[in-house]
Amino acid sequence: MVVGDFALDLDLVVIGSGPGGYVAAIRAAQLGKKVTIIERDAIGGVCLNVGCIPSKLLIQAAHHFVDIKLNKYGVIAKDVVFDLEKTQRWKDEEVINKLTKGVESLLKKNKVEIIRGSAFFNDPHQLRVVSGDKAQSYQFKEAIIATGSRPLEIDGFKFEGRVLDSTGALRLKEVPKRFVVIGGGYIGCQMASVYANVGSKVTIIEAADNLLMGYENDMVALVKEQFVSKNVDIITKAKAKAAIDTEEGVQITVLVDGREQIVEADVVMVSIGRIPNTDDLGLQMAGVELDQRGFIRVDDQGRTSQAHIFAIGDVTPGAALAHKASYEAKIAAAALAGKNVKIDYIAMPAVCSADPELAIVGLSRAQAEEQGIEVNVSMFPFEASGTALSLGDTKGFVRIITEKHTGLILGGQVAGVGAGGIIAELALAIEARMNVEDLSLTIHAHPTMSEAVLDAADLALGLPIHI
Amino acid sequence: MAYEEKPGKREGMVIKDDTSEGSTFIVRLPKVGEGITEGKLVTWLVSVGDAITEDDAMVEVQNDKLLQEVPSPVTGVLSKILVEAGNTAQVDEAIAEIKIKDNDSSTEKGLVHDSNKETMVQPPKEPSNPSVVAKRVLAMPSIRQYAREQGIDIYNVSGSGKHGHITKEDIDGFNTNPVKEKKIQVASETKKIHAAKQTTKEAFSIAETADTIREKMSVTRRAISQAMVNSQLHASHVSIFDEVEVSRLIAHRDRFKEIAADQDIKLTYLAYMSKAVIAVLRKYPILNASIDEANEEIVYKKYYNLGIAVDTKRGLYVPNIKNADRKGIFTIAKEFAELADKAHEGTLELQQMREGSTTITSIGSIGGMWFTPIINYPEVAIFGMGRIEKKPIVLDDSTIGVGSVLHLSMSFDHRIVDGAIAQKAMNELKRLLKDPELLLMEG
Repeated sequence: MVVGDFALDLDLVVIGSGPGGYVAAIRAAQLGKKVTIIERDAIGGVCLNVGCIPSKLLIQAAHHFVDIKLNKYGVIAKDVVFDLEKTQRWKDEEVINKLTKGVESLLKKNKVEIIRGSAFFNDPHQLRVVSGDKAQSYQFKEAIIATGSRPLEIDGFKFEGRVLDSTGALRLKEVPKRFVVIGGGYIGCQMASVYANVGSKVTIIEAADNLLMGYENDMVALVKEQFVSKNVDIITKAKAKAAIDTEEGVQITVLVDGREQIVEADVVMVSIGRIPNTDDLGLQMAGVELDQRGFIRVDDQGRTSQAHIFAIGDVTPGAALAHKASYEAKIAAAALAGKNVKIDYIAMPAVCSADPELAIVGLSRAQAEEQGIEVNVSMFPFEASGTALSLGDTKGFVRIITEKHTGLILGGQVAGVGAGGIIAELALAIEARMNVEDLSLTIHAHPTMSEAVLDAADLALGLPIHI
Repeated sequence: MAYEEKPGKREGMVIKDDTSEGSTFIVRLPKVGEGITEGKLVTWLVSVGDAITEDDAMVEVQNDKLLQEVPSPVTGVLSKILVEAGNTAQVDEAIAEIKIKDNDSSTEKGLVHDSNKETMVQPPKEPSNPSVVAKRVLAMPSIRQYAREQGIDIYNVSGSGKHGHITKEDIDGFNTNPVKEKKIQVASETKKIHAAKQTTKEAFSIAETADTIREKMSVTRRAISQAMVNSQLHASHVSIFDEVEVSRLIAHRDRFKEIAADQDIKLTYLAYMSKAVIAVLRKYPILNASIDEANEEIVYKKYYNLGIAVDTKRGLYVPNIKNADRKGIFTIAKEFAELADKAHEGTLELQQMREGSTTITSIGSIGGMWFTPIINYPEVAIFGMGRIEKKPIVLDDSTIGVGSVLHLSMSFDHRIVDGAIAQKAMNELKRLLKDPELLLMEG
């Protein structure tokens, strides 16, 4: 400790104000805790500022542009332009600014104190917050680590200049003529969709033999079909070696089947994965154990190897998803408030807002069969949905995976317009242990895309109406 | 040391032992009493390598506040202690191994000798639960959370809903699963207590600093804490308070104290109180009842076993005076003194603490006036005696005089005892204590 720095006392301290941290702080406060949240950057974390929210916005803007440009539905417009700078201004001022202020006021409303700066543990009960050239130590009783994750960098692609991470790609002011994506996961495919829709020549470089690992082949095929129609090049089983700046842009060297290939780009985005922000917190000093991959070891309440310190979200093992962090946040807060709670879910939905949108939850057929469960698979195609037809987009389907003998819903997969919203019903059905009869007996409003779930359930019962 | 009964011998299992001529007999903790699921091994009376004869005492086990000896089920040599002294073992848990000779006619060499084969050789099979499908339990998230709060492993609950779905009622009912025979269902304690225990366990979040000390709860303390929580979980406690002028009672006791002393009896106010309480129970039989929760029936007892709380160094014990209704005040005083001695020595027998009618708890000798005693569940009433204190009182002629006032408390289970009955019972108790001669006539 620096001479003259007296540690101030805190009760519960939450480190990080992303969708894990701010939710944990608010819930803990609701349950009677005196909470302080520490944020080194912007309130709301990656999700609000440089993740989910800005992505969603750009995807939507690009869709509007395509729809109008294509003169769909008899809407005729001439000289349609996509002004990315204006989109960005709208994003920053009207969306992100409002949301971060909103979260800040929610924290204040719940009497959560906000401290700005980077937190480092001195020991299991003390941490130091550094902000610029100022520093202050705090003695705390309990802590929740919610510091999230950051994009993974690879050799030869340092994030600078024309080599961007997802944050940089979301902040472009000008539509690049040539946009290259390294890593064809959900982030890569979403950004590829955005820039393909607004006119970039897009190339996706993926190390595996297919895009979108974790999604079923027929779902990925729909996305690829769209990419092909928009002249997107997809190079699989490819290893990106290096990026070299040229006068006109950046040259990317790719190794495919042992042969080097050059791809030219104005900008390249590397989205091959994320690493947990656990390396710069002084966790060793706190006695908080990590696993081999750098994730914090936690029990089924989120408790770390230090009983008074919890960890939630991307710093813990599992998918790096905002909604996972928020769920774990509530469990950790309740556990700290003395409640007997436990992380207890089997339905973790995931959404990829490419074209078309994909969403999955629960078990796939293969996963269920691996577990020795006998399943039925029922798929209702959007070609048979009146709503999809009227929306002008019949690509996609709802698929339900059920236990063969009981009709218990084990998994759901949706591709197509509104997939991310539709998946919620299937997540609920899985978590509530409903069977297809329960879905079939639930009235779904017409005309909506959600009716496809009802149709899939009817199909699973062997009594389909619309196919 | 007193023993209620010799714990039953328990067949273990003989397994082939390739390393020597003999076979090894696995000794498991026998069931040492009704409803008892675990015991703390206090002292091993034999050491590894010692020869031991069938039926010889092998280990001392403490449970439910009692110390008992567990005899060896076979003759042989103690080869291994699996649960060291000081640790707690579950009933049926392997606690030791004994080498036995194979020339014993009952054991063929190298063969498994086991009268309890089904449970010993094969791991007990979990009956398949129809409410678990595809490895997931059929319950809504909120019901799963509710089960967690109740400390119940929901995977053991079978659901009554459509397709075997588990409802909140199923979780509630899991505590009080009806038994097949029609007997009083009060021993669902274990599960519910377990629930309470678990909740408290998880809820513990005191920041530990240098100025906290941790101490293992003793068997007795655990039993007390479980019994208290169990009572609070089941009974609906209401307490009432009153006072009675007892000058005549004091005079009566002063008169007979010497006579009692001649017979080596310490005549206490508690003995009078006992007699009076018995008379009250007779008049209001609902106070001498219990609730059979499973069958939703009230069970009236025709016996009067009066429990008396004894404070000892190790904690609270509540032995009861059997058939106190048939005993005089001197006998009650004498028996109470004996039971109290045993409680202090830790030699009470299990039976002496079971099947109580109602309980009297007295704090008068320490001080204090009124309090809210916890019912000794499954009893439905408990009477508390505070101290006798000189106080100004209004005399019959409306003048103020000095009276000796005894402070009385009573808690009752409001599920079956109505408030009016309780107050009437209290009034009757006061009437009898005010005039000890009435005890002779009505007690």
